Amino acid sequence: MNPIDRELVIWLNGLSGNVAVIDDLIRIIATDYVMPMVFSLAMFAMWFSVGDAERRAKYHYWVLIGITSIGMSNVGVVLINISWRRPRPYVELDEIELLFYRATDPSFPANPVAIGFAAGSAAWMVNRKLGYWLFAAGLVYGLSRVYAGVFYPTDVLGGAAVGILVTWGSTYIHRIFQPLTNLFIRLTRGLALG
Amino acid sequence: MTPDPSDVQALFGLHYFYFAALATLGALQIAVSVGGFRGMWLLPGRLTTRYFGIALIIGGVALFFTLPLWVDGPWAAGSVEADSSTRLWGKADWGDLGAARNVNDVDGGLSGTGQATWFPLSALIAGILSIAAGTANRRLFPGRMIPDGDVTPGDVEGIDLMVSGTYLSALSPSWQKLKRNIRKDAAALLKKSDRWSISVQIWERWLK
Repeated sequence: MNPIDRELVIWLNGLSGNVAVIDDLIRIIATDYVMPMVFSLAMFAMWFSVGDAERRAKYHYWVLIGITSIGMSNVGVVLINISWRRPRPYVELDEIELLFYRATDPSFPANPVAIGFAAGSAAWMVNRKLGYWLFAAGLVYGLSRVYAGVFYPTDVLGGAAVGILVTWGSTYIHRIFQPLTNLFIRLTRGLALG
Repeated sequence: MTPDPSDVQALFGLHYFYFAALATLGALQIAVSVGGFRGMWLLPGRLTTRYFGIALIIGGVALFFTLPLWVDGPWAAGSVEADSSTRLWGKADWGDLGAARNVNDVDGGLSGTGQATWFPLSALIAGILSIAAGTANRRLFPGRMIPDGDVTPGDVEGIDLMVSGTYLSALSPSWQKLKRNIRKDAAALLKKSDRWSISVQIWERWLK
């Protein structure tokens, strides 16, 4: 095990148990529901938030890539899990005080962070500010899980890398099937939804 | 008695749907107020629509995380610990709220697939509600729904027509324009695609 990884997870998790409100807040951030909802809402809102038709078409294209990337991130994580099943910190380290449920899947890479960075990368291509906010949200999500004792810091970094790489790969998936993506966007315009 | 995972899953699915319905409606309202698509505003004013959207999202989060106080579930006070397989059925205390929703999907928590099912359904409902409310607003407050700039219906199509009109008034001309131009548009898009695109290859080898 990487000693920096070990020290960092023990240090961050060691901060828990002092202030109950902070522990509860981090438990809420670390749930399976809040941050994935943030990433999904960002993609949903991007579709409708641009008044200029030409710029909106670009947003639509990257929203579709973002949705593909979110799905493909899960595939990427499963493929890595097949070759390396890294145990969770609370399994390997006696010092860890678990604040989260006992996850049964491998630790590396952090799937939720991969999803956040996939959505963030797609948003970043058309709206830098939104992209950075989503990257920050993904990072906070990952660190909350490190604090809760279910991820190592390198799992978070691995998840971020998977998210960014999968988004890059998803652009090629869309290009392979072009012009279907743009025809779909054209169809939504015909239905007065794009 | 330990809760049955299928009961937990049904409860989580229902609560997530409430959460997603409020949050998607809120996000849609913020987005359409930024985009200026009055035909989808829940309220007649731009800023009131935006603030209402923010309130809906906050309301959705608050509802989802406080429901365990009033609804029986796998969060009975005193049993809410990190391990979600040893929970008891009942209502939570304030001190349990942070951890109440942390239930593994093998113990009945909502999986990513479950969320991917409920979220689009919620988004669809949010869209329908917004279109209905926008139409009602257009009829009830026509003076407040006048757009800032000039919109010439002949030049625009799609959601741009909802800057000043309703969904139904935007649908017909947009659909007609799509039907009229689809071949030309598809040909132009095909021309812009990469040579190695499957669609281009199929077109050039078998359909051309």
